[in-house]
Amino acid sequence: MPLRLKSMPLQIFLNASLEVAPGTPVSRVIAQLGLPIKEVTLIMVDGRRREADFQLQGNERLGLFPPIGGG
Amino acid sequence: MSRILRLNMADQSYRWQEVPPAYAGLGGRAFTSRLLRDEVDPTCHPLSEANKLVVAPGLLTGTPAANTGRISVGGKSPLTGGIKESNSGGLVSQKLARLGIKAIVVEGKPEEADGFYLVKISTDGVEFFPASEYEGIGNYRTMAQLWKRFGRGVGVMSIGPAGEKRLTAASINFTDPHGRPGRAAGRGGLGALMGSKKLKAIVVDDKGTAPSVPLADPEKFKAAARKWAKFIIEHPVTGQALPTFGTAVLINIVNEAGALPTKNFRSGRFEYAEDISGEHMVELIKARGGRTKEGCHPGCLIQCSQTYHDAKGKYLTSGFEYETIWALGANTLIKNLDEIAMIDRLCDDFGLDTIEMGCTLGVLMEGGAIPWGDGPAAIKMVKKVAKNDPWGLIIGNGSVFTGRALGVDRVPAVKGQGLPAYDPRAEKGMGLTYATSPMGGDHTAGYTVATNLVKCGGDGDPLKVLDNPDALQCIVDMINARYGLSLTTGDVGTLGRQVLHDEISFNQDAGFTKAHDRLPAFFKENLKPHNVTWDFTDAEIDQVLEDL
Ligand code: SF4
Repeated sequence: MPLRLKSMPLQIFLNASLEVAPGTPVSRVIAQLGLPIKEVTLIMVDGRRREADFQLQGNERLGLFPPIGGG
Repeated sequence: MSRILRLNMADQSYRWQEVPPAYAGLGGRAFTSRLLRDEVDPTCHPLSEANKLVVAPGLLTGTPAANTGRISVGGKSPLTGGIKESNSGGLVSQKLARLGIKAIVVEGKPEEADGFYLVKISTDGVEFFPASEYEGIGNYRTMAQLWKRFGRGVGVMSIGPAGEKRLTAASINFTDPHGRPGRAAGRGGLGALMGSKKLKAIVVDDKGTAPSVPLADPEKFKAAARKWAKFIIEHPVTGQALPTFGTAVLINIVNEAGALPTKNFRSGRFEYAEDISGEHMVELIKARGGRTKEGCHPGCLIQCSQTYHDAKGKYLTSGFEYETIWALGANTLIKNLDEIAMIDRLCDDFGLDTIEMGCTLGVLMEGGAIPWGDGPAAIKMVKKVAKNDPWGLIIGNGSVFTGRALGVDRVPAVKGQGLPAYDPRAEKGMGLTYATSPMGGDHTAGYTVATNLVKCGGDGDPLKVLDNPDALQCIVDMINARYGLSLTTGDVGTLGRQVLHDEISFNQDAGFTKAHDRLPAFFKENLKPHNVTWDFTDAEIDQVLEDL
């Protein structure tokens, strides 16, 4: 299943597609990418905030973010 | 004891006033709004002599506590016709506090034929000077000349050509530690109010004052202030994200959330968001020899500001904020960060609110006056504000005025003030803030983005500061140790409600009704990518302020 990935933890940009099996939790993708899970404080799937155990079905847009904020 | 300084511009005189007991526990916005409620007729014309410009440091300003040096500026808003508080960083606030000045109240108005004045405040007292040599000059040169004349490092608050012309999008700009006007009390056209008083600049020199204001209980203060600094440094947002990327760190995330208003609030994602992101900005700054982090005043531990150079490595602008980059970028489809930075610089120089200008440029494009995404055309337009050009007079008066001039009905504004950088359909909490804030379309009064999008400040728990239940208590401890009080966190909540009461009742007396607490009708349209609309009923919106 293709998965569009959009992530920028630790100041790297990654716009790539990633294959995951349906039902894969976001946390596994984070681990696969070698990102420290504690640094990923914000997960967005198709622009909605989700928790790390959210299960991907494929064809989603995934955003992983370190702590951010401003105004 | 600190005092209130009253400047009477009608005859260029001043007087000192002891702080009335009812005002003793008020600082910043609480002070400015209370004074306006007590002393300004809500029905007055904002540019008339009946209006007052109030400048007040915060309750903790001038102490050694971190990040306590911002300033509140208030008045009846020339833009909205309602009450206004606009907040800025810069050097002035701490210096006023060290001089023992609780607030400055600018009153009266000279004859129209009189030129502009300049007021200098120091330990030697208060002096008025004619300011004709600075008339028509932008904030950059004005501040540079004032540093030359009164010494490097003095605090300056000044207006540019926009404020002098009393245009309702005019800001008041404040010197940063480099003497630049990169910080502004931008919103609500308070620069026009200062211009109507014929006050070009206030110079504040604190030479000869003690480094800290007096503290009732120095030991307790020190302990609380140390804790406060620790909270700031250890929280990932204030300790890492803001210093690294500035507030523009939000571009990518709000875009990802589908809430970045694009093309005059037509969609929630901007195709070129990465080009204008904080991450990209930082890359450019590093490659060109700017500075990725700096404080807008001494004692800031977060340092969200920066110095942005152009492609040739020459200084272009500073204090390049998320709201600014969104307004002048995604909202207008301008995707070249250098062009956006140039408009930001022009705004700081002419004394224009960058959010209002972004909304205005969007309306200009909507009306076909310039093409979407055309940076050079937008720059040319903004430059007209400093010239004698009718276009400059139109856009300098903001988005609603420009919409009227061009017959455009798609104007993103509430109570006459252009909306900030979050689409209310995808970030509904902000929508309720826009609708109900006594300030008009404003993002500071109920900043739900932090809780809803970023999970900062608790997951919707308003009683936590920096995700830490102890942080609010820590702020209260500092206030108590500074003034010898015994306030509780509950008292602080009560104070907040009082401030809103002052502001809402002012607006009511100025003629505002519930019908003004509404978003423009076009927000009923569908917003991509989430296919959401603004679907609160009027009754639901009115509930926000019901239990106040
Ligand atoms: S530089 Fe940024 S974080 Fe520091 S005081 Fe100014 S606005 Fe606040």
